[in-house]
Amino acid sequence: MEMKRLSKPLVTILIVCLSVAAVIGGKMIFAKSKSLKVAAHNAHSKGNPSAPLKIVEYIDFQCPACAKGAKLLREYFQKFPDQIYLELKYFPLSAHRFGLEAAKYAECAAQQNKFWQMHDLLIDRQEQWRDLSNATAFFQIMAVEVDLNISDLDRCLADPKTEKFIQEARLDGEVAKVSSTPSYFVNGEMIVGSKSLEEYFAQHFQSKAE
Amino acid sequence: MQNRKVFLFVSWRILIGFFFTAVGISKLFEPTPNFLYLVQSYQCFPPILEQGIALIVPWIEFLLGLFLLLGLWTGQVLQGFLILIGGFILVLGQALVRGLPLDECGCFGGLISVPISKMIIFDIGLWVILSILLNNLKQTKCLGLDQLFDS
Repeated sequence: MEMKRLSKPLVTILIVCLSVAAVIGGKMIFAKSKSLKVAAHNAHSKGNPSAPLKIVEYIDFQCPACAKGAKLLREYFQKFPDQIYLELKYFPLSAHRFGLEAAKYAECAAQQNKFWQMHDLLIDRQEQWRDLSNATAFFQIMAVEVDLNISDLDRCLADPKTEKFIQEARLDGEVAKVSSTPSYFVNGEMIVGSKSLEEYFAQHFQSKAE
Repeated sequence: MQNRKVFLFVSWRILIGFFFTAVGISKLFEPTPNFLYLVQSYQCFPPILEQGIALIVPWIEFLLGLFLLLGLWTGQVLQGFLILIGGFILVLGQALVRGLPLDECGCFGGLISVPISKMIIFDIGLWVILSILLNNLKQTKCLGLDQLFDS
């Protein structure tokens, strides 16, 4: 009886240690088998390529947190123009019905060398289009504002290669274990959401100032 | 009748234990920032607590689930689950009342996607079942490791 009472805590400790070791070991094997490196292709970049902060961002243009994050990045780009290098990749979520369409407009603007202008418009006016029943007309107006060649734009939007490019970028994100947007890889470290990015920036630039 | 009751309670214990073990593992194998983002989206904790929750909750789910599955410390584990799920109900409830823009609850890691309105009903149902199991502890413990030590 006494032996039994003594052995229950021991069995408990043994089970906890074994299961924790199994999970940690499994995570290590899993991490090794899947390359967590973020591929640099299928991205649009801006900033100083030799900047100390290299950020890869996965974005869905319809996600409100992405708009917040993009505005935050813009603010820090203005404050510290040589400190940040950004690579932006598409990650349209299936829950957002205009996520893919917005990405296609951005990608087609990129083909006319106007990606960042279109990106900024999509972000700044997201509140106006994200709840519409059909956002196509709104996107067309923005395309005119950015001064895109409309016949080239229409050809690009209809081209299956455009969607393929976007889906490949999304696939890269999935390999890197991205499941929500916005997701950032800051010098390889994964940060999800604009709040965490804001905390990271506050800490990073504060320690630099000191 | 008694055998049928034992079968039912043991089945529920094993099923719920297996379920939480799987959910815990799913979250543990995801990068922590993904779960942290979900915790942040409920907007009801200070930043330090958010990070603590993102780190600890998947381990709690995994270990409590495993112990329930094995039937070890069954009474204490059931009490732990009642507190944990009670907490989930409160967090989900405040998100519903405040109308937070959450597409899904994020409760199951990458396993299943469930909207918060459905999840709160699921959690309340689960809380009731766990209470029943706790009130019938003797039958719930059957075929568990507790029987080896407590007899």
